[in-house]
Amino acid sequence: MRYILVVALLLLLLSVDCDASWWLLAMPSTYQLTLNFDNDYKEQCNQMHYLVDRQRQLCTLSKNMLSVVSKGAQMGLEECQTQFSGRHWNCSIMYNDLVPELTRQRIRMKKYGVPKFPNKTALALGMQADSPVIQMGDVFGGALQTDSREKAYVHAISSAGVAYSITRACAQGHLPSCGCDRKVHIKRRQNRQANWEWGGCSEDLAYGERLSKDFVDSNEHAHDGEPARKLMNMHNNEAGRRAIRRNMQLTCKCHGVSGSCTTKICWRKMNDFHAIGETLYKKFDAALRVKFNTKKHKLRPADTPGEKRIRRRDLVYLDDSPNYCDVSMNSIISTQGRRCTLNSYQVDNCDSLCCNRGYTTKIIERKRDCDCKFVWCCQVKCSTCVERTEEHSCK
Amino acid sequence: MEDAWDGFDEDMLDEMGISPEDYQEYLQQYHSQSYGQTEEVFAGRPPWRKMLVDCAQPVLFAPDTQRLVTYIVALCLLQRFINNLVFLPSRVKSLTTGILGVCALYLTMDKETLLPLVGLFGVFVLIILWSAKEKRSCGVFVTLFSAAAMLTFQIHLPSKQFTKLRGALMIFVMKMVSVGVDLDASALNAVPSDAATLFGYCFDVSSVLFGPWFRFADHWTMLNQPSAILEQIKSILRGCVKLAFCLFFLVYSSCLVDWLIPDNAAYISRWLTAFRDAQSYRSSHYFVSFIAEAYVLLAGFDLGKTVVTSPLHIELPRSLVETVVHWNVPMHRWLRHYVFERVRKLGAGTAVICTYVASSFLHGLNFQLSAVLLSLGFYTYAEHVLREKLARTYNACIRARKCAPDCSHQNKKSHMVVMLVNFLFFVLAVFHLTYLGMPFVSAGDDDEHGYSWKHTWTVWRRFSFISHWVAALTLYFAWAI
Repeated sequence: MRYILVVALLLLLLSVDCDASWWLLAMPSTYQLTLNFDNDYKEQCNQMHYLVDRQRQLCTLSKNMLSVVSKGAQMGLEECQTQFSGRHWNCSIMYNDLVPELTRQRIRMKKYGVPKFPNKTALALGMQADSPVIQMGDVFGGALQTDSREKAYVHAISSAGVAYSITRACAQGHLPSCGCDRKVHIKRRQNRQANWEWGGCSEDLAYGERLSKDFVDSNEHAHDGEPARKLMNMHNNEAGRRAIRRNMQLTCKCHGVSGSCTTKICWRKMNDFHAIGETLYKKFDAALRVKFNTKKHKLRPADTPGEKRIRRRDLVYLDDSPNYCDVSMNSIISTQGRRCTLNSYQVDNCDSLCCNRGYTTKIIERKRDCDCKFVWCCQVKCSTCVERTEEHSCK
Repeated sequence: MEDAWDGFDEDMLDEMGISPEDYQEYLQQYHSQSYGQTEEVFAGRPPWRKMLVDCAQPVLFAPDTQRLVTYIVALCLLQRFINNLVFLPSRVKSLTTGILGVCALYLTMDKETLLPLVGLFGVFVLIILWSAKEKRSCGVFVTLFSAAAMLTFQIHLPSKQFTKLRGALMIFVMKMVSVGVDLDASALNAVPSDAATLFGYCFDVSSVLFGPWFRFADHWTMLNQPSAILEQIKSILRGCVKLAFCLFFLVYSSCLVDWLIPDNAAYISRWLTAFRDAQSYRSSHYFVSFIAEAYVLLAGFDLGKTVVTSPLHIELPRSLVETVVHWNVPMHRWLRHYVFERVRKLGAGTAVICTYVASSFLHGLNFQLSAVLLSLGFYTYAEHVLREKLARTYNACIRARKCAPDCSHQNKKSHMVVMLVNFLFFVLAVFHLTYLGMPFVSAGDDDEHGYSWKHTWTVWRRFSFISHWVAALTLYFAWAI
């Protein structure tokens, strides 16, 4: 089973116009790969087949660029999994072990021209099998086929993650061409961001946002698809970046003789990424359903036309989320083995999470140190308590 | 999807040589699909590198800091250069220092804050010239006028503007009153007191923003007698050292304290948080004092050892009296000479009260500052009296101020009990300083608009006014013994 999947993926790798996605950068294994870039990083950048042209171009800006972006995507994915941990779809991804092999395979193929694959018959099988063509870009295993709220969140959080990571890297000096250096090699139109007056190398966040927009949105521009989906994705990307800006904490302190305010020094702190994830999660709950207006080539609110305007910081979605308990979704999403809470009022309630299949209860015994006392002299003696906790998981 | 790993029982694990704990851990990891933690998740204190990047770097490179450290320093050095041009007449040098001072004010504050000062100066010059012509004593007039001006500004200017202006206004008033009183006492016979020189003195570039106050006569001397080149180079180097110190205190006040002592809710941590807040405030004061010293050193207006504040005496105080003296040495001297000495004939106690009233007036009649100053007056009095009595009774060197090496006490400072008593008073002083400095932390816009009485009351009430009670107890002991 595993091999067939690998084969299908490999086939897609070989094809040039596959719907490659930069989300593969979010795999920890890919991150390791990007960390090992040497001085020939420009070549390696050009070999990244799952990036579009513009992304490969941006990759060549610096050696650390792709690792920074990869780290950002990874952060976004992790945060997504944290926030969605109690829901049916928990932002899980597939093929995390296989991807680096695939990417390395590709590079090896370039050198030797022969795919080094363990099982040749599996390859042959794969060519004839009716296995569903799994989109290469869909690291989520097909769960994001519909343009649902979940897709909106994923776009927003990954875009935010990349912007956050770039800004951090700039502040720490890992990216040479950023921040206060005005000679940025980005050829897009000048971004008319408001000038931050206070603190620090004030253009870091602006640079992070610009670069994130360039990198992430170019994925949408490069692929021909429905304009509605494109617009939705780009809107959600921007919503993610805005969430960072709104979460900047401004701190000011007055200095002067005996507490007067002769000079006021302000600096801003970027909040924890977790706070941004939470903000976006609230936006996810309040996401707006939209429809595409073909005449004006814009997105409009679907339910209450004209009444509610779409703000740049809102998340939008086109279709309702699929019923994750439906049998047809079982091949993609299964809540089997997921941990649930017995009497919860939220979605992680055992009845709803397990789709009424029932749950099993495991009693876990954990040994802990307790009743620690200081004994003269000079030891700390603890006794061992056995904690019994019940854990429920879905059948 | 069932995985082959699930469902192994203990015997099989035993055979494979895997302990049940390892197996559980493996299962947990496998099912949780976690990638490990990003560096953003901390338990407790973030690493110092993060603090440096997030806080220290933005603070040091903030436009306001840059203005203070580069532009004004450049102006000061320019003034030093002009001082050295001996061929220039003194009045021209005064004018230049005044003009540079006005530029400095314009750079840090805005036009609307500059105008009141200029207006004030205009009236002041008129008073001086008029009283010189009419042969009247101008000290009283100048004092009254300054008091009236401060009150007017406080009432009519918006609070934000007044808080911004308050520092420079304080220095200005001190200068004006000192000139008025010195003229009366004929202490300024060697110094021409016309508009140009007064302009140079009042708006002197090195002391217009943060002080320190120095006498008009000294200013004139320093303007016209530049010292030898070697001395000047040493001055400049000392100035640079002070600049480095001031930047350290800036970072300490803004960033390090919050990093060292993060917020916590437990009771004992409340005191730690209070200590942190008070220390942040004191550190801000050191920043301002050291930058004032740096400006004076760089502009060539230092007369020997210019000292504005001494952090050691305040952080490790022998007593609150020492703290008050070393908080702002030039201001302490001014208060002693121009207020205390002049009202001494009314009695020592009244004179002290008058001094504290004058001090709180200079600070702008803000409730919080006045409350702190008044409390300090009360504490220092109690401490001074108590320690004097104890020192006399036990013949020991435990007075509020350090004993001279040749004092007549039997038990000198090396005595064990003496050291213990001094240490106890040190702890008491730190406790009082924490309590008094605690309200100077801003939640929101407070420090920009001036702290309200409600804020001070709420903060001190949280600690049940314990420091005031302790001081009352000290006073009781002081009188009872």
